[in-house]
Order: sequence, then C-alpha cells, then structure tokens
Amino acid sequence: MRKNSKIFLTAAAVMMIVTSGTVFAESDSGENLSVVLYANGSFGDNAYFDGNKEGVLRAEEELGIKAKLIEGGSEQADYKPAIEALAASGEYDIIVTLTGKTSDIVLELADKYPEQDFFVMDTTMNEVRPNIFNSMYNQCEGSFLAGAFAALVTSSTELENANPEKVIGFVGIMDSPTINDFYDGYEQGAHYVDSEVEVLKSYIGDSTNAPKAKELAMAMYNSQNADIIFNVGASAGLGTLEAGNEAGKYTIGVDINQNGIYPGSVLTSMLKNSGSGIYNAIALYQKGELEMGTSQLWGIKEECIGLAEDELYDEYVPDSIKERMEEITENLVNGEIEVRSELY
Amino acid sequence: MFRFLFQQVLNLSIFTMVFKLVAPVLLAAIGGLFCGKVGVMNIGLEGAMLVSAFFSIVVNAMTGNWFFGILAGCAASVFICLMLAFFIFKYKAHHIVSGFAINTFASAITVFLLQVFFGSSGSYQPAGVQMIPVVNIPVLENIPVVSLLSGHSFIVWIAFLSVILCSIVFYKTPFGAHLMAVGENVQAARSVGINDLKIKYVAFIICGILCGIGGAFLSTGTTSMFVRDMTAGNGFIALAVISLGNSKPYGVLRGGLIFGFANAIAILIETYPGLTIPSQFIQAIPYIVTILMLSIHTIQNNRKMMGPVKKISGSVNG
Repeated sequence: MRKNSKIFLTAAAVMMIVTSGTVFAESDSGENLSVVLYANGSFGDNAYFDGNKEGVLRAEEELGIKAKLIEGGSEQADYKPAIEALAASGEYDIIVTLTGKTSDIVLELADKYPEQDFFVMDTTMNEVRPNIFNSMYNQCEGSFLAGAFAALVTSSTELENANPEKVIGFVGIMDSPTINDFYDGYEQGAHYVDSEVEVLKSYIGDSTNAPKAKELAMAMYNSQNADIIFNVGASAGLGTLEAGNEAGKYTIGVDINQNGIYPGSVLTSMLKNSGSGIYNAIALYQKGELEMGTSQLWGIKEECIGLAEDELYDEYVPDSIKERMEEITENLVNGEIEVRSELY
Repeated sequence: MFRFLFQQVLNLSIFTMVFKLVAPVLLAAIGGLFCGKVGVMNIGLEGAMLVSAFFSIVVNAMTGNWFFGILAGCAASVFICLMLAFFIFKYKAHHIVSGFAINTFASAITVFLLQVFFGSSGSYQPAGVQMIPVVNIPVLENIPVVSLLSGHSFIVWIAFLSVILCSIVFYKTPFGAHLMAVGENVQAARSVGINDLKIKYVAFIICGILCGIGGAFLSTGTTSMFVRDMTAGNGFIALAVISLGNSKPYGVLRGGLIFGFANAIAILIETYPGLTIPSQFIQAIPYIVTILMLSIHTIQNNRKMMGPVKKISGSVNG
C-alpha cells in the first residue's frame, strides 16, 4: 500500500513536470508572442512616440501578443544598459527600438545575444544581423505631400486666411539628418507645385521648448508673411500649432493625426504612421513572413506614410486642393514623381 | 537681412518679442537675487518655474481664471523654494547639490502628476484655459513710439515692476539692510539681534513667488499648454543674468534686456528666408552674447578693483 502510494506520488510528480513543461513550451511558441517597445523618449508627445505606442497596443489587442512599453527618457547614456537588460532577461521574443539613436546599440547587442530578435524602426542601418529587422519610413515622400499641400494653400484664393505672398514655413526640432530629410521633401513638394514658392526654415533647438517654437512660428507669420507652416517639432511643436491658431493662419501637423488639436487651423497632418509600421512588422513576424536580417524602406505604398484626410480635412480644405492632392498622391504611388532623399 | 532687422526695430515689433522673452528670465533673476543676497546661489530657479508652469495651467483650466492659476503656481513654487531652504539651512546641505536635486525632482514630479492625472507624460493641452491678459492702453496705442508701452502681457509689467520694487526693498528698507547684513556676515547680523533664519526663509519665499509668476507666464501667458521641461534653461539663464548684472537690480534688468534682444534677433534671423548661416550658430547667438558681456563685465570689474591697489603699491615703492 505504502509502496503503491509512493509510485503514485512519483508518477504524479512526473506528470506535473511534464505538463508544466508543455505549458511552458506553449507560451513560448508563436501564440503568445511577447514584445517590448523601448522608446528613447517619452510618450504623451501627441506625435511620434504616441504613434509607436498605439501600434504596439493595437497589436496586443488584435494579434493577441503580450506587449510591454518602456519609456527611456532623454538621457542617452541610459539606453544601452536598459536595452541590454531587456535582452539579457530573455523575457521577450522581440525588442523594438526606435531611431538612429539606438541602432548602434542594437547592432552590438545582436552579436552578444544571438537568440534575441530585434526590430529597429525608423532609421537606416548600413549593416544588419540575422536577428535584426530594420525598417525606415519614407518621411521624405510624406513631406513631399505636405510641401505640395502647403504650396497649394499659400496660392489658394478660396481659403480666406491665405495671403497673396507665396511664402510657406517649416519649424523643425533641430538641424539633424532626419529633420532635414523632412525639409528636403517639403521643399521638393512645394516647388513641384509652384517653383516660385519661398520656403522658410528654422529650428527650435530641442524638443521641449514650446514657447520658442511658438515665437519662431509667430515671426514667420507676422514678419515674413507666411500663411502655412509645417510643424516637425515633437512636443515643442505644439507651440507651432498654437501659433497658427492664434495668428489665424494654417499649420500642417506631423507623425500622427493632429488635425483635431486646432480644427480649421491644422488643415492636415503628415502621417508618419510608425504605429502601422510596427504593427505590420509584428503581424508579419507572427506569420513567419518577416525577412529578418534585412533593411527595408516603407512609404506610401505600405501605408506607413500619407496625409491625414479625416472629416476635418473634408470640412476645411477646398475641393480644388483635395483633387490636386489626390492626383499628386497617385503619381507618387505609381512612381511618376520621384522624391530625392539624401538618407536613402 | 540687416535692413529687415532694422525695420523690425523701427516698427517696434521686435520689442514685443523681447519683452515676452525677457519677462520670465527677469522674474527668476530677481528672485534669485534675493537668495543671492542671503548668500545662496539658487540653482533651483528652473525647477521652481517648472512646477509653477504645471500647477498654474492645471488650476487655470479647472477654474477658468488666470489669476487663480498664477496663485496656484506661486504656491507650488514657494513650496519648492522652501523645501530647498529647508535642506540648506536646517540640514546644511550644499546649495548647488540640493539645487540640482530640486530641479530633477521638479522635472520628474510634473511628468509623474501628468501621467497620473491626465494619462500623458509629455504634454498637457487643456481646453478652457484663460490666458493671462494683454494690457492695451487706450490712448497710447495710437501714438507712434509711445505705443511701445501698449500691448504687452500683464506679467511683462509685473516683471519690470519687480525690478523697481526689488531696488527699493534692497536699498530703502530695513528689511533690505538686514538681508545684506545676513548675506555679508551672519555672525555680525546675529550679534545685533537680527533673526537671520527668518530673513533667509523670507528671501526664499519671495524668490518662490517671483519664479512662480515667471513659470505661470510660460504655460498660461506665452502659450496655453504644459510640455515637460518646458522651462528649457530659463532658470539657468536667469543665474547668468544675475552675474551679468553684478547682483544689482538694475544691472539684472540691463543683463536681461541684452539677453532678450539677442534671443529675439536670433529668432528673426532664423526665420529669414534663404540664409546660409548654420542654424546651430544662430541658436548659439544669445549664449555667445551673454558670455561676451559677462567677460567684458568681469574685465571691467577687475580693472576697477586693481586700480587703487596699484596706486598704493606704487606709493609704497616710491
């Protein structure tokens, strides 16, 4: 009897170990992919980082993955130890990082942790590893649309707050390759529509100084007769949008749909839909169709870039401009217009 | 380009910009001056302003009244300054170190509260903010040149008034004399029965109020939003302006105006079409000017100090 119970207990223990083992294995396989987004900044900017966050949360809801969000803040020295800790923990199937500020770190860690998969979004990497997927959004293409739109607005006679001077503005975060890529596209787009349009350019200097962004935008409106400004200013850019509203002029939002912040003043937004980018990458990875170890450029065709055409856009933008924009977008998609970028 | 700048000066539009840029710096600098007089270099100006910027817009949005907003901002800022004073005077913490701690704390607590109450950690743009009013003076605004005095925010006037009041308090009141005495020599002040601790705390409270007004101006006067770390170095510029002004109220005013002008010119140049000057250089203009002025000022001061010394040594030799 005693012997029997011992055998029984042993058998039960073995069963438990086996079952727990299978349970463990199950959670590790594709069903419950666990993804961590490491943002080298902070959420709540109503723009770039919020867009990325949205994408990961959408994937959690629709694809049934386990998502975790981490805010790295603005201290660059923190990024490497934080990302390394994530890789070393082995808790996550995919670590998603953003922008060129993290690409070198990931490149180094990819060698050290070959079992860990990384997504590096929104930057071009010259070399990748088999466990890295890299994608760049074609912001130059999107800015081209914004520039064409701005040029149409400044020459418009239908929009009551557009003045006769053909001057448009650009307020960016800082003089960096990525921000200048936005500008390059913007200028090309504006000159595609009308080569006489003058494009003003200025930089805030950092991503939080909203009062300064507002001052710069105000100077463009009041001293240079600009009537529309493209805001590429992260959190500080909210100051640019406010200036547009206060001056009774127009602005173009950036990254996510900012049209609703000042309806009628923010006419449209250049969507750098980094959320869909991450979502698509995770979905492809889940299906096993993502080509790891590659670097890809995603643009209008992949629906990662475009203008925000919502009901506010319908309400405030004249039909003539809408029609022209459709035409230009079509030409961009079918390759009749080529946007030159220095980055890719 | 120079013609354009000159035009801006002529049609006075540059002054509106200068005053707007100068007001927060000036308020913080005068606040810092009070702390300076009792012998503390208050690094925490930045943090005090940031906290005020946050609380003023929150209360402003809740009550729909700009004045309550400023009051709340001042209260928060005074709290921060008293905390700093407490560390320094009660626990003898080093004032630079604790000042930095205060700044880090302010930056973090505003983001934390933003996250807890508004679910965002980067910015807060409430509806229903009543902006601090602009003072338009009915008759003056139509007269050329004199119209310069009209159309500025209420806070701009407070900022300039604070300079005058500060000068009166420093040089015309017993409190001012006590303040200097405590700063120059605590032992001597104590020996004549001055309660030095009380004076020090009062100086920090005044500093808190002034920083509070400056911070409220940033979030509810120039813009109507709060963005994390939106003070963007204004507090540190205020410290530079204090040294530039030789720790005298009117000197601070002069220093502040120089910085404001440099900043306004940088903004105008930055937005001027077709310029090939690197933007990094343009952005550095205000700081370069500040450093230049500071150096010139130091050299002048040294000359003044060295002058009589040389004479004395000369007479000894002779």
